[in-house]
Amino acid sequence: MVYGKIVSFARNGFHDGSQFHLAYKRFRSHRLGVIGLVIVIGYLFFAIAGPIIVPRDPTAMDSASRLAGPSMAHPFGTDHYGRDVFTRTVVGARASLQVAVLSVGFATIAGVTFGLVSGFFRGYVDEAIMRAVDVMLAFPSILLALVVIAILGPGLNRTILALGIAYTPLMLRITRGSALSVREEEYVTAAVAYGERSWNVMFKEMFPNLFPTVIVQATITFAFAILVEAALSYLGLSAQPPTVTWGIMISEGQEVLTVNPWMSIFPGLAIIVTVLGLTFLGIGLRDSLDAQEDGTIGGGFQ
Amino acid sequence: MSILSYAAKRLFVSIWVLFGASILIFGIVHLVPGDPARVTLGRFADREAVEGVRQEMGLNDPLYVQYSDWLVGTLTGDWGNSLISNQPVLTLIVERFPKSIELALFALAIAVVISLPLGIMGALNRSTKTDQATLFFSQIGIAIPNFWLGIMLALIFGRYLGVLPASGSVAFTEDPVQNIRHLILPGVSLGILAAAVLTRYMRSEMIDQLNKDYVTTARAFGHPKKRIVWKYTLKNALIPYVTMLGMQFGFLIGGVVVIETVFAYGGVGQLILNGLLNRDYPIVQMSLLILAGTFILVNLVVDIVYGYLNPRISY
Amino acid sequence: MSSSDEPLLEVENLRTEFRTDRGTVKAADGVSFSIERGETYGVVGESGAGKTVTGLSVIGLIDNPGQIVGGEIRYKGRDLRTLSQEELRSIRGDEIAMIFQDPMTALNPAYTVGTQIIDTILTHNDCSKSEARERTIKLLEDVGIPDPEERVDSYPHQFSGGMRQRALIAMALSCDPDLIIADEPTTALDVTIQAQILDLLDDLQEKHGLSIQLITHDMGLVAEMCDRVSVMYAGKKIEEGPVGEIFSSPKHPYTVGLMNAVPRLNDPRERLEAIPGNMPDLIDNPSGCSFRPRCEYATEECKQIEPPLEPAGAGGAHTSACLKLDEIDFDTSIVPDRTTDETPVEGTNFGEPIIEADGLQKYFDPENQSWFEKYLGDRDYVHAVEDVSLTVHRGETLGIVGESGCGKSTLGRVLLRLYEPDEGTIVYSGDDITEMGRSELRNLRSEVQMVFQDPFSSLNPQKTVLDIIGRPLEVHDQVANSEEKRERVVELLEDVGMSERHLNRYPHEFSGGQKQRIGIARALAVEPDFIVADEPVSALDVSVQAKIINMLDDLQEKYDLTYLFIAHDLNVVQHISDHIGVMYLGEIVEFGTVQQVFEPPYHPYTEILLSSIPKHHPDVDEERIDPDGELPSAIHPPSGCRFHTRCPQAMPECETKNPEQRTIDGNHEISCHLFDSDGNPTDEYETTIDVSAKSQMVDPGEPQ
Repeated sequence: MVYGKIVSFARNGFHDGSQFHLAYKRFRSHRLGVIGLVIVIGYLFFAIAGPIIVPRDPTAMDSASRLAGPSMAHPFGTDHYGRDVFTRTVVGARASLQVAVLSVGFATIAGVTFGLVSGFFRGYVDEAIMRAVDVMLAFPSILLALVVIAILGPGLNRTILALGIAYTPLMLRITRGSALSVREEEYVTAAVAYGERSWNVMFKEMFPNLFPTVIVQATITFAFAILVEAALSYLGLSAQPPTVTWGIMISEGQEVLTVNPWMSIFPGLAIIVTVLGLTFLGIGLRDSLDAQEDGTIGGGFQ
Repeated sequence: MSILSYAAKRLFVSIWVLFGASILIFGIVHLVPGDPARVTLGRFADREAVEGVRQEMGLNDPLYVQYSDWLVGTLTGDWGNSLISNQPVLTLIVERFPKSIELALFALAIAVVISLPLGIMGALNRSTKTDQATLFFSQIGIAIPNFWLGIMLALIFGRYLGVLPASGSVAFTEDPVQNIRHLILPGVSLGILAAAVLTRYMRSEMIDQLNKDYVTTARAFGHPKKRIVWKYTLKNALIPYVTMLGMQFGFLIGGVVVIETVFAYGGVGQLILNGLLNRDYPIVQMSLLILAGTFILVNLVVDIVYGYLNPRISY
Repeated sequence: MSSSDEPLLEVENLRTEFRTDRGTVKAADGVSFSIERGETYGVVGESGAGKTVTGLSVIGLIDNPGQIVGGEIRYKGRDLRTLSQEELRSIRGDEIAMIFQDPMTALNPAYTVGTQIIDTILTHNDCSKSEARERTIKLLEDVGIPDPEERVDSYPHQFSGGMRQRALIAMALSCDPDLIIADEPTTALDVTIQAQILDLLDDLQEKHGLSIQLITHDMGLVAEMCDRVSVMYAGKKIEEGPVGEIFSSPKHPYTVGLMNAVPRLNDPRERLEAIPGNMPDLIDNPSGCSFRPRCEYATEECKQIEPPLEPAGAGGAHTSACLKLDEIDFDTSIVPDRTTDETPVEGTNFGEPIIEADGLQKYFDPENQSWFEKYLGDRDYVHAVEDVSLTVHRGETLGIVGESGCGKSTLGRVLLRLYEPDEGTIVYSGDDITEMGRSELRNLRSEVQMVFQDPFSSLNPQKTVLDIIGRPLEVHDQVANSEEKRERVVELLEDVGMSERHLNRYPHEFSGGQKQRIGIARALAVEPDFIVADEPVSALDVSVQAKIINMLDDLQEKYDLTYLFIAHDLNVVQHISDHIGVMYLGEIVEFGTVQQVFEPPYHPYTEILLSSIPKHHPDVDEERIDPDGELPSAIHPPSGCRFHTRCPQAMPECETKNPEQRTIDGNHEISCHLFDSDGNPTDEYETTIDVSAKSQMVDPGEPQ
């Protein structure tokens, strides 16, 4: 827009303090972002403290009340063994958190490191890395995860590794994209010109400027990791019972769907709320950090 | 240079990627911890049987010989037999692959039909109630796990209302009407996510284009709003949309694994899942290869369409 | 009804505001002007003065969050503000057309140039599509696009920048408008292309009897093109008058300052007159006269009263908004023009060579070449720097000048080995840089430094000033602890005219000029001997530019620095340099002292560059040579002499034979077939430009 400069000046003009301070002020007034943050904090609380605070044992069977609908005693009803669905839903948050944190953590660290190296050195280093990424991107990420599971076999830890590997090329590509544009900034050349070591240029000069992009993408990837983990455990390829996951609960509920649909409904709603919270948070972060986005929220992360 | 030489270049890239993908898939068997022969036979097989399988699988040859043998076999249609049912893998895949593609295409069609009008509407009515409704739909659509949506739709339309079949599939050649009826529920559950993502994408691309300098130029020259929106900006917004469409198709192909299980649809996806659970490697390898190959092919087509649509592309 | 002696456009008391989070931006604050039929009316001012907004307001293109809150815009007697959207739309493009600054983004990339012009014609005219197409081809021909019948079906990306601007002009002409608003129409273009476009606008204006509102920051363009001009400052018109009068006897301190700040050809290398301070941002406008904080004549009165526009000359056509109109002696405040005779003898006795480069070559991969094309078949390269040799002596300033894409920035970076040269050697104080290992190279980094072009990109937005300037000190262990670092950074800040209170601020809190100062302080931190300054002032407004140039001069003297000064602006380069190298498509085509380069004999390219510079006074009469076409691609550079495709004096041998470097006299070197081996011009050589004519000003006050 022709007079976009005026508007962006008024938005970003001569405010005081660091960019993050400004981002914080913007985030505070971002309604969707704050709602997202509240949901995510709630999710983290249940995932971490859930097994301690829930009133019942998630594996305790109550043969007197099987497949019951919601009631005062069992707000989400009970399953085919008479286990409390509410308790199991709370406890199930942990497995999803475990998978999401570790796999996204892995993908972020690996993706950012290689992406920075690729975007900083360019040339042959970049060529080599990108040709490998091309091949990995030939698989939609869920298929890439299936390749890893085919090698390692099913299981929660293996799902973590599988998703970590599956999301790495996507994090890498986004980091590299921003790194390439930041590499063109004159302050990076300036750092090289005053003799800064490559590693410092990458992590001290470039990384802080990529951080908004990385944090927004990590948040969104986190949401998709939760969705995919749920799908994999629904298929029986992730954690195995007696571990409680939302996917397993839905799968078990499917078998008695006509008798007690609540068994599948509640864990599903838990997933929806959590993922919504994360995407809201992602949007809030994106808007307040002025981050670049690879297409749209979640575009390439299923 | 012409569009043809551009297409040739894209083809070259696709072949490279396919080559890389084949190595990765070939590697599955060899990367499995332990002796692949023993893994296939199970823990209790005797040593002789294991040695026999090693011979049969060519595991004693150097890796590159194994790969080239495998590649030649793959290209000539010798895809091996299922370790479980002993049926030829080729037959199994040929039987099921068209079903899966039909499902993915159907889901894609749903996604396009929803996302195009919704995205444009959202962009044109930016920050109004309509726009917020659009955004709400796309947020919810992204957050719903597709398998859960499938289960719920099957419950409502299959069991409670009884208007649509909740599982199975019928070949189009057998009964076109039943074929479509069986496609609706899995197609919708699969397509909603893509629809949501594409809606957001279309909206943001459209808003992006409406803010471009050339729109100011067009307004400064008195072009009617209709032309500016439906001709000038729409074409520019559709160019990246097509690329996104190709990517989404890839994710739909990945999604069939999950959705086919929900609806007992009997496509390649279910084949992969059973293969994974039973460690039936020939099936897993070939099914993954065919799906990855489809994805690569679709992206090739999308690249070429993109090159055709986008005059800025340098051939 | 409108009578013919009524102005075509009359804007009265226009007020356009933008509502933002931080307050209301008064982008146009009570602007009035009128444009007569057939005249070229200039609106000049620095960035943020409200020029563009004024232009957009006229055709009603102000959107949320902007709004026209007051005033009248009468076009042929009708107030455009009272028209319906539909009526306004029928005027846009048909009667009033607009040309925008950036031809790269102003055209729709997805449609052919022809389609866009045809659509415009069909919008406003009742004719068939084929008639519209015929007309479009005719228009493209009129604006000087070769092969219009084929080019009509080209997409914008297939056009160069200059061609796109021509296409936009064709679009503007397509419905025979009466008024064209041209918003910085040549700012994004190179100086030789600018000259072509200006000529074109001039011709078309005459042919079609157009009125043009020319919005620009460049006083040179005003002198060249306009009949009348208004000077804008902080959303207000502060002076207006016939161009001749404004240039000979400006009556506002700001206008005077603006004119004095521009370096001119052949001015002696002394301090430029800079205007202190910056333009206020349009939210917290100071009370009274908005120029007051920067004005040396300001008094208490200026703070209280907002000065009205008052007649400032005979006839009443010249008005100025200054309370001190009668008190200031404007005649003596104008820095008089100087001629070459007064130029002080340039120092030719510089120290020993500090940089000696020999046979430098740098090739890049073209951007759109995919990875496998590099390894299969013929690999393309961008020939950015081709066989460049030069020597820089200690204590001097070597200016490198050329159009964008000529490889001058690449050359600067190769000299510091920020790009690895593909070929050639660079000797710095006796050591070959190209042979250096990693640790030697790191030590070298404390002796050679760089100053960058873009103040928005040269400072890391995430770091404070203290860390930005202090980091090189830490890298080279020049400070022992944070206390020392702080002290040293404060010293450096004071060197560049800033102070301790800026230490903990972030880059976005500074204006462009201040950022450039910080960038210079960072370069100085390690006490270098040699600094490559890559277009250090080209992104700055004129008044700020002058300050930075002065500062670079002072610092050179104080620290005995050697500069390689890269710029596209000949005025700036000649002001600061001792020697000049003129680059064209990766090669240095002429080299010599400032005097040698700016006096005949020239390389034909230098001659064209010199003649393309807009004149600095409207009364100067001169001839301009336009080069043919535009800069060829550096991927497949022309054979023989690379300039032969555009050279007005090209001979058959130029197409095949690469010219050798000829020494004309002393160290004046030209690579051109027009000079024989003794450095004498051959019989074919002719020159039309005499630079001294360019700077000779006609006696002010004497009508031409």
